[in-house]
Amino acid sequence: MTDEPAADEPTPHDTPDRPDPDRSSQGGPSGTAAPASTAVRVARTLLGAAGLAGIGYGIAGLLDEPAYTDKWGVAEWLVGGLLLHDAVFAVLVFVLGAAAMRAAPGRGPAPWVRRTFLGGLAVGIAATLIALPALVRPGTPPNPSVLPLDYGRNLAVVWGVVLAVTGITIAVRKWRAGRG
Amino acid sequence: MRAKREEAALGGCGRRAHRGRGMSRISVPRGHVPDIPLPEPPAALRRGPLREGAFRSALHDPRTAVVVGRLLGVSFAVCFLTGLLSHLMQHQPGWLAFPSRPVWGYRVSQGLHVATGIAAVPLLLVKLWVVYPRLFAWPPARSVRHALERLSIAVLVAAAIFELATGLINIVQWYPWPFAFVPVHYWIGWVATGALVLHIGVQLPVITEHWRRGPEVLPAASPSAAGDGSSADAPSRRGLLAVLGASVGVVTLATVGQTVSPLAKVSLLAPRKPGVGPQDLPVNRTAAAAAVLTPIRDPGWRLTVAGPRGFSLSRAELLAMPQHTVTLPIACVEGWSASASWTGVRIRDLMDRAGAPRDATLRVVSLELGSPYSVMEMRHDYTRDPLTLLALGLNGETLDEDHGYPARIIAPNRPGVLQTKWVDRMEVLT
Ligand code: HEM
Repeated sequence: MTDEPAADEPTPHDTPDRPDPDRSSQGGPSGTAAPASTAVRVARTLLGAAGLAGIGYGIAGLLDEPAYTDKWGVAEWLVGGLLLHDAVFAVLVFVLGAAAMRAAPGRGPAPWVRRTFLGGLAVGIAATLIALPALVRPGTPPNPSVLPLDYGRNLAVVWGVVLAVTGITIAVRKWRAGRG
Repeated sequence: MRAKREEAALGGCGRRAHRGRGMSRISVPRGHVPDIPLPEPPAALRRGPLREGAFRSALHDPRTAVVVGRLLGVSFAVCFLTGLLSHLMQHQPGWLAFPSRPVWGYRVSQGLHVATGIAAVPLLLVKLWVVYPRLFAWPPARSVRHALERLSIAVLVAAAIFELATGLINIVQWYPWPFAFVPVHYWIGWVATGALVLHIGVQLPVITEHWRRGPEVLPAASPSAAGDGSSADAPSRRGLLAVLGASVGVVTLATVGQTVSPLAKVSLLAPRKPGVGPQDLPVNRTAAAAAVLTPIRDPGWRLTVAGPRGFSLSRAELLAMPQHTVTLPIACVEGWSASASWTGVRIRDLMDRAGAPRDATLRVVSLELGSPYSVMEMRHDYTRDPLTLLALGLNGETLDEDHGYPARIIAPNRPGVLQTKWVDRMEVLT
């Protein structure tokens, strides 16, 4: 996630991996090239129909649900999650990545070192997200067998291990490069 | 909603600007679906992340989207199928019967549901990182059909995030939302799965094109040509996948011990620990929370069995019947599970004594009132199983109050919520 940022290292930008001229940039899938084979067209139609049916079944079931009281609550959580990712989390990740890759150009750690470090951060952030509910849950758990661990301390241990492994990875690669 | 942001923060300088994106590209898709082209908004609006080349990593490419998408797709399929199984076991339609074996069936399927959902968190975030530039596609909508496709992507992403977030929060027994978790998580699961299938349909040509590694070589995948002797010095797909694999590994190891007991020691972030709880077994609902302390401590408690030859027995009389000890897991819908040794009377002995026919269904009623799990029904597939007990003891001791004293149900291959605690009476249904 935070890794491999949209950074400023001199990557060849004309990525050679998009042979399809129709999609050479941020175009949408409907502009897809190469006339689709009949099999692909049939599969697409079936997948599309099944997918729409699944969405419809889910929404209908939700609206029908007797236990389901606050429909705006569900909508808020759906839209909220989307915004939290697209407008907050992703922005932070890309800004962090760009900043780490661009700081002190030409000086400081080589791009691959910075990138490996960002990769380590990504792993730590994944662990943090998993631990977050336990960390921010208000109130005491309903009984002592729920959340029995010291999650703050344990998360620090996980970060310690992740950063140590990241550091070792960088050191080993430097050492190898030095010998190679 | 997903296309309007004009932050300049993301950098980039339009190095990809001249790629022949003329009007010739505004294509009305061939095929039978009619479509209506939309006008392109004024170019002056194309700022910030909307600019061509605003995102420069070579890893925002379709091949990476397919490689990560496949893994994410598998994880969502596993979550959907195991979730559906759990739902059907708890809301068993009349035409469907579940076997009582394998003993560990539900333990594995629900453990997998939660573990896969946790592993899907880094998978989803990396997938969204890879395709994030497409959020700023220009023009935002080429045609009505393109707009609908983008809307369906918003549905997919919203539903996917919703499922992972609510699931993760639910397993710490925190319910910060204004709706009932279980039915909403179930129905949005259908929406997410439907939107995923639709997404695969929409992207199918791209997916088939990039299913196998193409002739293309990402610049950095090749060993360093760069002078400083360091290894590859541009982002590589392999590097991205290594980070993804490490993330999945760490979040899995950090939590899976709540159901794979030997790993409990390394699962530093798991919401449960198998050996922690009264009589070394975790508890979901305590006797106090269920408001049953008074009736379960009543020395006059008797188990009533209604049937062709109904009867009632005190705990001492139950203990005087043939006792059996079985090792069975408690497997909670929340994804934790732990094995324990249970002692008690076989349900089928009690039913035979009540004169129940072999294929009778048993209704079990708890002393706990007003919970969705106060009344539970069990088909003959379970009641005839010799491992299905009315348990009176746990791990060599008298059953703890929080584990269902004076008597509880324990059966193989069943969700924990159906292992009724504090049993009041049983009714043979014919
Ligand atoms: C929960 C599951 C998934 C989510 C949330 C998801 C999300 C997304 C999003 C947001 C996009 C950008 C769409 C756009 O704006 O045009 C995208 C593109 C794409 N996805 Fe998925 N996806 C999922 C699963 C999959 C699977 C299973 C595959 C197939 C193996 C897949 C393959 C693709 C491809 C090929 C693209 C186009 C990438 C490009 O052209 O650059 N996705 N996905």
